[in-house]
Amino acid sequence: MTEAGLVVEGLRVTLGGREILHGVDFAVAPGRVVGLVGESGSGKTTIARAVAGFVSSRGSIRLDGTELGGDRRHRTVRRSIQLVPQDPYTTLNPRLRIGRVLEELLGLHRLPPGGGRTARRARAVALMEQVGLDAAALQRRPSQFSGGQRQRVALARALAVEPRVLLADEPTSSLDVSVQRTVLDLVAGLSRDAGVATLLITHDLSVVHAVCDEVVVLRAGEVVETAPADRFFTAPAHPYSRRLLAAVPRLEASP
Amino acid sequence: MRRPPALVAGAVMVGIVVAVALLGPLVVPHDPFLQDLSGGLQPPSATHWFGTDQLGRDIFSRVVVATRTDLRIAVLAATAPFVVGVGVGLVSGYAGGYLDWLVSRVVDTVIAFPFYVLVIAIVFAAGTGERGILIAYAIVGWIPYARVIRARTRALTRQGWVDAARGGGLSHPRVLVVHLLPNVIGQAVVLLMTEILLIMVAVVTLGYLGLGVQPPTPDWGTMISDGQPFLATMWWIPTLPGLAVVFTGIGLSLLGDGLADRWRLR
Repeated sequence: MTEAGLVVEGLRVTLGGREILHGVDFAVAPGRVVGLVGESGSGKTTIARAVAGFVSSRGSIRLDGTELGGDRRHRTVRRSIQLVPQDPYTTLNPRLRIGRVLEELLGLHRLPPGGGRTARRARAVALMEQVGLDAAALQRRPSQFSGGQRQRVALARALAVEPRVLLADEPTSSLDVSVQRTVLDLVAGLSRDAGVATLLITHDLSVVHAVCDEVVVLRAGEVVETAPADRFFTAPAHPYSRRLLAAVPRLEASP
Repeated sequence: MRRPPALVAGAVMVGIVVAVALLGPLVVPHDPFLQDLSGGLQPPSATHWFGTDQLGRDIFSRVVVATRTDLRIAVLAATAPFVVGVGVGLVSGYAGGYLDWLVSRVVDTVIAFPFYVLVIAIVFAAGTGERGILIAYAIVGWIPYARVIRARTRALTRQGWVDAARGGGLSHPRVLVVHLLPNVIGQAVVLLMTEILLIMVAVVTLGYLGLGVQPPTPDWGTMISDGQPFLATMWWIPTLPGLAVVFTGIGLSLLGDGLADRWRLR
């Protein structure tokens, strides 16, 4: 049987002489949204950067059964795994218009297939609309966008190359609460529609509750629990998961 | 957008210097090489606007003609270091690792020497005059660019958009040229203005030391040094070429500042 989607096994990463990840295992099937939770410093971002190939790692990273490991020389390999980074203010090149960035990527990968410049324009406009921005946004530079809009642009950029894996690293942590939900729904909705395997990194369990199919709990560089989202919230297996859940602040309804 | 006044003033001043360099030699009132030993050391007058030097040559004509020489040397000497320094800084800051270590050590080593000592030593070895100055600058002039651009590139390379460009499938050269270069080139251009000014001062200084442009070609430095004995009695001989240096220097500084303001991200 061939495995589909992203499979990570025994992922180890050492940064500055210290091992950050001690053999992490998890899998994300196409069209599924898996929440990766854990406190600050547990190695969540390092997992994303290792899977995206930005830090070197040991262990196995497979995409649809093909071993990638740390080898990202081929642009098609890099293209298939896209990362939406945490900080919306450093995620976009301050000197380049959004349309320029998107069209460069589309041109490089000959998207849409067989299409020319006009087709790329149209595709860029369609991407903007997908993430809830209008075509005029293509003419703007990053400084003319709010944080939430920047995250939308970053998402559009990631989706432009039609990846098979999307890694979203706390895409909403620096956004307004009111905007968080729209961006999250967008990430989850677009991934499901396009059959993209999505890893959503967060320390916010309400985010997981809202959009994720499965949960991977990370603690100090090790996975302590992997469970479907509903089971995780009703019957967490690991004591650490129970502590995480107990720590979620609740809004008590006034009597 | 409002233009910063420094930019306008600097551009106008540099524009005047460039215009004088290009057109001046065609329209000077006197032959800058023509000696008139009986008419030497004259004060400024209607015929000789800046007076005459000890050999009776018209100082105004010589200042004008020297503009072309000095500006040409400065621009030529600044070009190669600009290109090399920006290239080395970009690659070093982006690649990191051993290459970056090596570049940084070379930069530190060269910076450890006083700049003029190095330039004078190289000009001594390579031969005086324009050729020696160009060689000296080609050897040491790229260092400041490499340093500034490397630091800036290093800082930017940690930002998400560099990863995103690479992750989107772009090649390293493309990330460097299309994505990083537009973010650092502004600083390099501002530095270029300063460097042109420093080179002009260096050419003038080397001329003053007898290592620069050789007589009889007019050059502000040799004019100042030749006129120095007359400073107390006939001030115009060294002072007016000196003012040409000052005017050009202020113009280039203002232009550099103005461009820096302009390029700052809004």
